[in-house]
Amino acid sequence: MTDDSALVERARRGDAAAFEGLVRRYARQAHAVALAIVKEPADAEDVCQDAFIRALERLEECRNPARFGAWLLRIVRNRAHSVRRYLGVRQAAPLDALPLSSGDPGPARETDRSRLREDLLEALADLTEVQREVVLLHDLEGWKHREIGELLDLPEGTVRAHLFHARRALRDHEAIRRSKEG
Amino acid sequence: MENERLDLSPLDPTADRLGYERLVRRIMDAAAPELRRRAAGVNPLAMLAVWARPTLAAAAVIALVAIGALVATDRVGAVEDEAGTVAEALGLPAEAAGWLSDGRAPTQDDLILAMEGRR
Repeated sequence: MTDDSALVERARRGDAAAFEGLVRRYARQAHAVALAIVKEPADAEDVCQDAFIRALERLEECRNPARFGAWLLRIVRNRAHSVRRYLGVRQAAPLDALPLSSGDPGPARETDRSRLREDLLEALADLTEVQREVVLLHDLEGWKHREIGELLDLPEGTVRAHLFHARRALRDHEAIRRSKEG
Repeated sequence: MENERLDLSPLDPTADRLGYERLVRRIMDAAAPELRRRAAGVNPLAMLAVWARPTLAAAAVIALVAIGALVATDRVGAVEDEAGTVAEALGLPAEAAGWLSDGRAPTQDDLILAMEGRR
């Protein structure tokens, strides 16, 4: 597999295939980090797109291309925080300014997988931001505690503690949901 | 139990192949103008960004050396100028101005030589 340095070097010269290689390599992780912060998948996709474009525009500022992923994910986090702040302001708009809900649950609930996804998103929303980031990076993306600690500037022990509490909260949420259904 | 990995795969954006491909295409479409600009030639702003740091660092070193040299030169010159100005203002002979700039008291021989020189 071509290493990040080579792809970054080619992308700097405008090689679209090289940039697409970077996008495909890091889109999943970028999405997980963004989702942990903005909570809505659609917003997370917007953050991903914006972060990749910003990264491309500033490729010369990536001083260690071999660690492009870590650099990109910091951009993703910054963009996600900005979007969340914006959404916070938008959601704080007066009630009469908001569109009326149609009451339609949407096509996402049409399949079991979509329902599971909705449940997970709902459960994740109850976690703290750092718990969401830790559990998504660890259990979805397969990152190690040390790698998560480096990204979030947290000691490894703190990462483990957040992971423990996040998993417990998600399991509790699932148990409550099942008991309601049963 | 608490330490077991949770199955969060329903949140994996790549699980929905079509949705994931749409996201990649969206990003690539948005990136196209910047990629074209880069492929067309050297971006002057990018070049500036590359050289800005080393250039600023070199400029700072040069400025420090230059300021240091200026201060040192100025200090020596100031002492000499000061001695010359005082001697001139008092109308002292050249020999006395020399003692002043050297910062020493004249010896007996200096005084005799100076008086002979005045004669």
